[in-house]
This record gives sequence, C-alpha cells and structure tokens, in this order.
Amino acid sequence: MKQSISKHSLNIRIKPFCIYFTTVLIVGCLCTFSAEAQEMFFIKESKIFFESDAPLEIIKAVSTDMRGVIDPTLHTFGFSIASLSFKGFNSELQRRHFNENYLESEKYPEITFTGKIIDEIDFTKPGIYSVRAKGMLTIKGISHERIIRSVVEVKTNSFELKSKFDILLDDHNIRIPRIVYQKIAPTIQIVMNAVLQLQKIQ
Amino acid sequence: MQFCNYKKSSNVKRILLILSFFICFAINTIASIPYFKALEVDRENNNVHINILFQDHEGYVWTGTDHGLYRYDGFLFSHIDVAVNDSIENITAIVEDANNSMLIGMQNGGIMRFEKNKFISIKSPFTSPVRKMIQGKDGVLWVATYGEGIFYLNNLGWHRIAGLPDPFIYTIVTHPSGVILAGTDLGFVVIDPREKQLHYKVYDTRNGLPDNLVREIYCEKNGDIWLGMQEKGICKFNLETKQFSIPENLLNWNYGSITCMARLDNEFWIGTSGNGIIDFEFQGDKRVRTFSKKEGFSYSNINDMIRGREGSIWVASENKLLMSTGEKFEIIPSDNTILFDSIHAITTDRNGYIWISNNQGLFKYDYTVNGQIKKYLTEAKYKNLHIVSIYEDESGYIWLGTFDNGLFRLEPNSGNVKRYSIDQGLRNANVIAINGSEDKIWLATLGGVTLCEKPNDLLEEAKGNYKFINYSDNEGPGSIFVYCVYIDKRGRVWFGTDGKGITVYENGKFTSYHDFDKSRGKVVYSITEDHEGNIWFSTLNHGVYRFDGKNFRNFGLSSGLKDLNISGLTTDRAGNIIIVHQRGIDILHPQTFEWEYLGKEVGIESLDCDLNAISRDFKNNIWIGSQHGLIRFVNNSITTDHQPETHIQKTYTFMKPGAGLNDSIFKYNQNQISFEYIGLWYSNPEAVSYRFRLIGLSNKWINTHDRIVTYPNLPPGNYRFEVMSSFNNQFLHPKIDHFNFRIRKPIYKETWFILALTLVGSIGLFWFLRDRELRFRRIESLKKEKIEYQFATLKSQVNPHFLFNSFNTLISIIEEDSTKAVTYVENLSDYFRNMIQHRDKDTVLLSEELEMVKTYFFLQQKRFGNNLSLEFNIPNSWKSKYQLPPLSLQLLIENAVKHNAVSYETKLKITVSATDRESLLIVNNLNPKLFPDKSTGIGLENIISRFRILTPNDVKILRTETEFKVEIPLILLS
Repeated sequence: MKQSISKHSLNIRIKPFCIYFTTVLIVGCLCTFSAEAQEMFFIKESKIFFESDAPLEIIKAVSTDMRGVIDPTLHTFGFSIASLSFKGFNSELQRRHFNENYLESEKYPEITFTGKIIDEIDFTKPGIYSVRAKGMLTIKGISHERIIRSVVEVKTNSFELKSKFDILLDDHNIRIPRIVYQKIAPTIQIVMNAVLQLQKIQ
Repeated sequence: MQFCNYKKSSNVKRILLILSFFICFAINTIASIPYFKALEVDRENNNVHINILFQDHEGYVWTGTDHGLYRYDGFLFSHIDVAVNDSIENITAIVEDANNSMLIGMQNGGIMRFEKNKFISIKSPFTSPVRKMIQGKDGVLWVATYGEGIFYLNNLGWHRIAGLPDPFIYTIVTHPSGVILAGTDLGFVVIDPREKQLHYKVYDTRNGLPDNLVREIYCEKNGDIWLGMQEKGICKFNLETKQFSIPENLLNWNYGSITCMARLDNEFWIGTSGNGIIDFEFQGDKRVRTFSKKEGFSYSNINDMIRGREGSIWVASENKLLMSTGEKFEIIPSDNTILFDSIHAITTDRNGYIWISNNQGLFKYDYTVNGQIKKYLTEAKYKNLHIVSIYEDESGYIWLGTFDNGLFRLEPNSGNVKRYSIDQGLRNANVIAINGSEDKIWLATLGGVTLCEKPNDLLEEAKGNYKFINYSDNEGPGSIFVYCVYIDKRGRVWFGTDGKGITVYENGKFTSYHDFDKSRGKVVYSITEDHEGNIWFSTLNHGVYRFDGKNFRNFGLSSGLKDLNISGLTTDRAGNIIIVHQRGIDILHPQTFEWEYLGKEVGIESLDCDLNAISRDFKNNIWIGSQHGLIRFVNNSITTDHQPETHIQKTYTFMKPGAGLNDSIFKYNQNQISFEYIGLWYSNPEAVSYRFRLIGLSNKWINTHDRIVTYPNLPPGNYRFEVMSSFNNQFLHPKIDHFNFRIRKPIYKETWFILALTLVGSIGLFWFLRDRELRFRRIESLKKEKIEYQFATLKSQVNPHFLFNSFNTLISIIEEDSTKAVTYVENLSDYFRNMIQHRDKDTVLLSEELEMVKTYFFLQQKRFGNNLSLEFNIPNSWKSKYQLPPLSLQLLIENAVKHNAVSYETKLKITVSATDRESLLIVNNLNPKLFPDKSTGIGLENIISRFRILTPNDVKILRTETEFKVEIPLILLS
C-alpha cells in the first residue's frame, strides 16, 4: 500500500512534464510534416466557455488561454488548454473543487484535442464553412474519439472558429459523487471561439 | 359466470337517445417501446464495455468486450479466455470463416482463430484496431482497420488495398453481387474483388452521398444498400443507378451518429450514440419511432445490434446485453392521463384505429401515425357506462354493447350516438358480444341472442331504424346466457353459451352441441376458426376444443396448454390458434398441434383481460388489453420450423470437469460420466425440455428439464449419448447432438492381455511339461538302465560258468582245506548278498564297491591263483568321499577277467588307481582269449550310459596294443 502511494506521488510530479512534452511534440510533428508548407494557422485569441447545468447548481467558467495550430494543407490540427486556466467560477470553492476533485489539474494539467478536419475546407478561399473535426479529446488523461462540428469563417490569412459541443463526464472517467449529483450535470456544454492567424514557421 | 351477478337495470332509459352534439378531442399521444430483457455481461465488473455481438453457427450469442470474450447460452455468460501474455484483450470484431471456425479481431490489431478450444494468433501486418472482419468469397478474409485501411488475407498472404482516401474504416460488408463495401470518413468505397487488378470506387458528397462519414452498411438480398451515416441518418443506395435517397420520414435526422443497424421483417432498428434506437418501418406505414430516455428506454449509447435466429433482436449498450422480441411484441404502457388497464373491449376498425373501452370510457387510438388518442362519449351521462363489447359494422358504424344499458351505435366521424334497449326491441340490456356480416348484426346478451337486421335503405340506416329479432333459449341458442358470437367463413353463426356448449345458426336453424364432453361444464367463452374451417372454442376451466364438424378434441393442460384461465381466442396470419390466458399467450399450430408459449420471458405476464379485450386488425396485429398496458402482438414466424439448437457442452467424470469433448475414451475406473447440455432458446430458456438416451445402455429416451445427467458405474463398452431439446416438450422436429465414447475394459479384461497371458502360460506350461517329460524320461531310462544292469549283473553273476567255476574251485578247496572252503563259501555268499543289497541303489560309496570287488577278486583268485592280480592305488580319504554306480567297478574287473585268458603264461594284472581328476583308472594288460565268451552285450555300454545319467563327466575308454584302460569319473558325496 505504501509503495503504491509513493508511486502515485511520483506520477504527479512527472505527469505535467510528460503532457507538456506531448503537446510540444504534437505541434512539433505537425510542423515537421508540413515542412514544405511553411505556413500554419496559430491561435491568436480564444475563448472557451463551459457550463454545467445541474438542477441545483450552475457551474460556468471561461478560459482564454487555448493554444493551437492548424495545418491548412494536411487539415490536421492540435489544440491544448491548461486546466488551471479556467476562471470565472461562482466561488473560489467551486474553482478548487473543479480543479482538485474533478479534473485533477495537478495530475492532468492539459486538455488536448488533436486530429483532422474531415470535411472539405479551403483556407485560401474566404467564406463560411461548416466542417467536422475528428480527433482524440483527452481530458483527465482519458482519450475519447470525438467528431465535432464547427463553423469556420475564413478570411485572408486568418479565420474564425466557432464550435459548440457537449462532453460526457462519464467518457473521461469523471465520477461525480452521489451526493453532488444534483449539482453537477452529467454533460457539460462547451462553447468555443477562436481566431487563428497564418504564421510562417522559421 | 361473473356476468350473471349483474342485476338487470330496472330504470332503463325509455327514450331513444339521439345526441345532437358530441365532443371528441385529442387527449394525448402515447409512445411505446418493445420489451427489452436486460442482461449484464459481467456482474462483478461494471466497466465491461460490449463492442460487438455475434451469433455463431451453433446458435451461441457472443459478446466481444474490452474485457475479453463472453459466450451467452440463455443462462450464463461464460468468459472465454483469449488472454495473450496475461493481458485481457479488447475484442472488437468477430467472424466465422467458411469452415465455421471463429476469428476474433482486437483493438491492438491482433487476429486470433479459435481452434480446438484454444485461440491461436494469426500474424497480421497491422497494429490499428480491427473494426470489422468479413468472410468474402473463396475463403478470403477482409479486415477493416481503424487507421491502416483495408486488408485481405487469401492463400497467398496478406494484401492491403492501397490508395484508399482514408485509412479509418468503420465497417466492411459483402454485397450480394460479390463486391465489397466499406464505410470511411471520406465516403464509402466499393471494391470489386472479382477483377484481377483490384480496383475500387469512392462515393462521397460529390456523387450525392448525403454525408461522407459512413459508419454502417446493410445490404438487402435484392442488392439495395442502406448506409448509416454520422450526421444524416440513413440513406438507400442503388449500385446500378448510383442513386442515393433518404427516406422521406427521416429527412430531418437529429438523432446523432449511427453506430449500428439491424433489419427486422418490416423495420430497421438503428442504433445511435446518445439517442438510443430509432425504429424505422421501411415497409408499410414508414413509421418512425424512437426508443430513448424520453420513452423510458434508458440505454442511449448503442454499440451493436444483431438479429438473432429466433427473430429476436440483441442490443449491446455499455455493459448490458438487451434482448427484445422486436416487432413481435409491443407493450403500450399506461400513461399519466390514459390508463391502458382494465380494458373491457378492443376492436380494430377498417382504418386501423383501435377502439378501446375501459372504466374511463371509450377511446380511439391511432397506432400507425402518431399514437394519438381520442376520447368519445365524454358527456356526464355516459360516465358510468360499462362498454363490454365493440363492433364496427360494414357501414362503418361502431356498435357498443353495455351492461344494463343496452346497445349504442356510434357514428365515428360526427360522434352521433343512438341507443337501443328493451324498449327498442331488445330482450335484454346486457350486450356481451356483437358480431355481424353484411346486413345482419348478431348480439349475444344475457337474455339469449338478438338479431339486428339492417334496413335496405341507407337513409333509414342513417336514421337508425333497425329490426330486432330475439331468440331465447328454446328456439335459439339453448341458454339465455350467451357470451360470444362468431361468424365463420361459410357464413354460419356460432354462439358460445353458459352451460349449453356451442350453438350454430345455419339456414335459419339453431343446432346446439352440448354433449361434446359429458363430464364437464359447457361454458363457452370464445370462438375462432382455423384455415381448414375447424371451429375452435375456449371453455371455462376445461381448455380449448376443436370441432371439425363431427368430432370434438380437447386441448387442456396435459396437451400443452399453459393455463386454463383463457381470456380469448383468435388466429394469426398463418392460421395458428392464439390463446390468450393469464400466464401469457399460447400459440397452437392447428395441423401439427405444436405449441409455442410466450410469457414472462418476453415481457408479458398476468394477461388477465376481459373476454372482448382481444382483437386482430387487418394488418394481422393482435391487440390485447393487459394489466400493464395495451399489447400489440404479431406472429410472423411459423412455429414449426425452428427448434432449440441442442449442444452437449461439457462432460465430467466423477463430477470433475476436464475431460474435454474431444476425449472420448475413458478408463475402466472413469466410469461415472456426466453430460451437461443445452438447448439454445433465448426467448424462454427455462422452458426448454430435453430427451436423452445412452445407446449402449438403453435405447429408451428419457425426458427431463435438467441440463445435466450422470451415469454412474458404466460397464466397459462403446456408447453414444444423444440429447435433443424442445421449447414446448413436443419434440416434433428436434435437433439432436451426440457424443460417442468408449469405456475401456480393465487391462485384465482386454482381449490382447488375455491372449498374451494365455500364450505366456501355454509356453510356460509347454516348457514345464517338456522338462518334466525329459526328467521322467531320464528317470525312466535310468531305471531301465539300472534294471537292465541289475539283470545283466545278476545274469552274469548267476551265470552257470561263474557258478560252475566257483563250485569247481570250491570242490578243490574242500578237498584241500575245509577251513579255506568255509571262507570261500562265506565270500561267495557275501558276494551275492552285496550284489542283492546294492543293486537297487543308484550309487554306492567307493569303499562299499571296493569291498565287493575284493570279495569277487577273492573268489576269482582262488580259481586263477597268482596268475590274476589286482592292485589298488586309491587314497583312503577317497573311499568315503566318492561314490559311483554300484557294481560298475566290479563289472569292469569282471570284463577284464572274462575277455582275457588268464594262465601262467598269460598273467592278468589289473590296477585300479586314483587319478588327479577325481576319477579311477582301471588298467589291465591284454591277453585276448582265442575263443571269447559270449558277450552279454551290456557290459561297457551299460556302464557308460549309467555314468552319463549321473555325472557330466564321461567314461573314457582307451584300448592300446597291450593295455585296456577305462577311466570312470567319481561322484563327490554331497
């Protein structure tokens, strides 16, 4: 028993680095694959809003700290957001609960979504596109394949991304204690807006 | 009988009621879902996630989960160990190849084959999850991987379909034309494997595909292709015309991503992730229903669905395996506002509407479109109306029979109601049943039968001017209490009475049959007719009778009926008799008398409904009012053509498992053998009964409900265990499984052992006998030799010459010296005595022999004097140490004396000396006689053979010019 506890604590210390490295790696990979492209879209500004609409308590929070990159030729993408960056909870207690009890932000500091855009989109032609992105959504270390529809408004050298989707807590092994079932909804609604800009990679 | 308790109303309304207005309004819509039986794959592990379902050729239902493989037999989920390197595998695909051996595909890209109760890994060139495997033509295995595209395995090895637009394959199927279809993220792919150079075509939105993400494909036998998509629901595709079409009712799909599809006879069940099951009737009404949380179906993520052999649908959702009878049954539950309980009467009309009466009133239920319900007779004065019978006549009027309040005629469109009671010509105001044909409506009342004749004029009919003719007990049905009316195909009208059996009205005449069963009550509640024209009726507490026009045949509990509390009878499309009773529904095949029972296992029980609460509509749906709601039942399958698959699952010896089904030879002491078997019958596993026998022991079939049988103390021999199963205990077309085995004899009973033993024994006996024979023969010959020798010796000793010579010698001695003569005679007598004493012995001591020789020599020396000399050179120690045959030495000396001339000139000198070889050497000089004595012929030969018997050393004879030497071996005294 003692042994497992010490292992556990070791993991906590190591995990953040691991995840940091994986995100760096994902972005890095995307960059190398598109060596010829030289140009990629990076998130300039973003706003992620989530809401848990439970009968007794509504939890809302927002983060503007999303990082991400989209390869306009291969249509692959990678997004990540620090769990701790969510702000705007009703109370400090709620924020702490969110981070400590549900997301375990110390252990799993990043939420990532990496994959590929599967519907047709032309980033060179300005216009409004509705596309699906298929990828692995990783929350609390558990990956789940998701197909998420987004509206993309392509402008010259930049585009705006709008998306609205649900996350099932159960999919990511976020267990809600029976007693707070009335306070946390089993599905969380996410609204995401981001502006991405074309940047040259050195 | 309960009807009799009703008091006739004394204050029957006298006025004919014509309702000028009528309120009808939609109250509610009622959604319905079929019955689902939920099973948990692994009770201990809630996290098991079922990925796929598969029913194998033997009928077993398999679930591939992220915690390994489970097999379900109707009773238990058995975990089948496929672990590789101790890690539990995530099973994502199952298929059977052309040889019926099972292949499983896994999340890690591994593929295994189930052979001889073991999984053997098949090398595969991919590591992406196996999404689906199919068995193509010519034994080619097609594998859809999620990440590496499509592979196929033929006898040349693995091949990859190169250049596909997307490597993430959701599904792969074989089209009846032989082409392979696959669903990907970027459209669906048609691969033609018939061409030498494999080529494929991709269909996507540019070709008219509504949604590029094709997650599920179903091919009809006629070649139609149904595609299940991620966002746009399902669409149909024609491979010839290349046309895509979304069914009209499903154009606005908002149920999310499709995960699986199962095709029923008239419906598609479409599994979704998050929204339960969408039931789409692709034939007929094109009805769309949802089974989701809203309807009370609590399984929103559907992982897989298959249609089972018995027609049932298997659904996998998370860790649950659900089984549903599908189209067969539907229970429309009671709602908050409408209670589908205590239904008195149900009738289905020409439009498919269902008319229902219960304590709350009269309702019209629109099943086909949207489940809308209308309430009729909402006025306060109808509040306590007990409508017990409903009938739609040929003009479209709805007739309502009530307790105490007579008969009502309802015009369904306007809602106008007309009432008829005693004042209008009815004899009795309790109308229990109504039926009719053409212009006649027959009423079964508690006062006999009333015939209501329609006027010819339509206007008169609209006014409601009918003529009522009453038939009471004597001229009519025989009893005043009539419970049912049935009009058969030939236009005869049948009545079921209380106490007087059935009565038929034909050609204006009533004929009553009440002597069909003398010992029993004759209360008839319900009548129907099969396709052959036989009349079937149910009775109070005595089951069902069939009347073929001449004879009555009873079907009670002993014939297979499950319950005597029969509510009613009807027939299904195939003409089977449907018997509704408290415990469920019995289906009786009218020709083979085969039964099928549907009850608790399919979600129906306590069907305690009123006599008229059963009705069949023109689409062959049978509607039954029950305690739990309105039941819709449709029996499309014909019961006789399927039976449980029987399998022997395990064998045990002394209740110890382990002897697999492959072992069929048991040791003689493994002779307590048990068999565990099953008849796969998922819709009601408990009801399966078995018959078994052990050929070799008895050929008689034994009936049982147990799933295990033990044979103790089986004698050695060859056996064949046979078992069959039946869901209705009738064993009409049973499927038999068998197991051949042999119990070996104990080794001492084996033929070869006995043979070998006999052989060894006889060889031993032969040797023994031969040995004995030899021994006997030796003894025999020894005896013979001895006797011959004794005889010869005796003969030689008493030979007249010897005696003459001795006597002559004696005479000469007597004259010379009487004292010497006495000594001589004494020696002579000693000689004979010794001879007699020793001749019976085999051997004598050397000293004794020497004594005899000396006596003999004494006698001879008296005759020959100094011309004969005998010398002994034998150590004294030898004399009592060695033995030799008696008289042998003496005979040699005698021979020497006999064959040589002894005289002064020819002296005979005999020396007996010991050698260093434990033998005696007898040497004498040769003075052959001129005229030798006649030889007795036994002398030397006899000595040689006697010595041969007694010692291994031979007697050696050496004859030279001057000497005769004989060496005799001595026998050491033991």
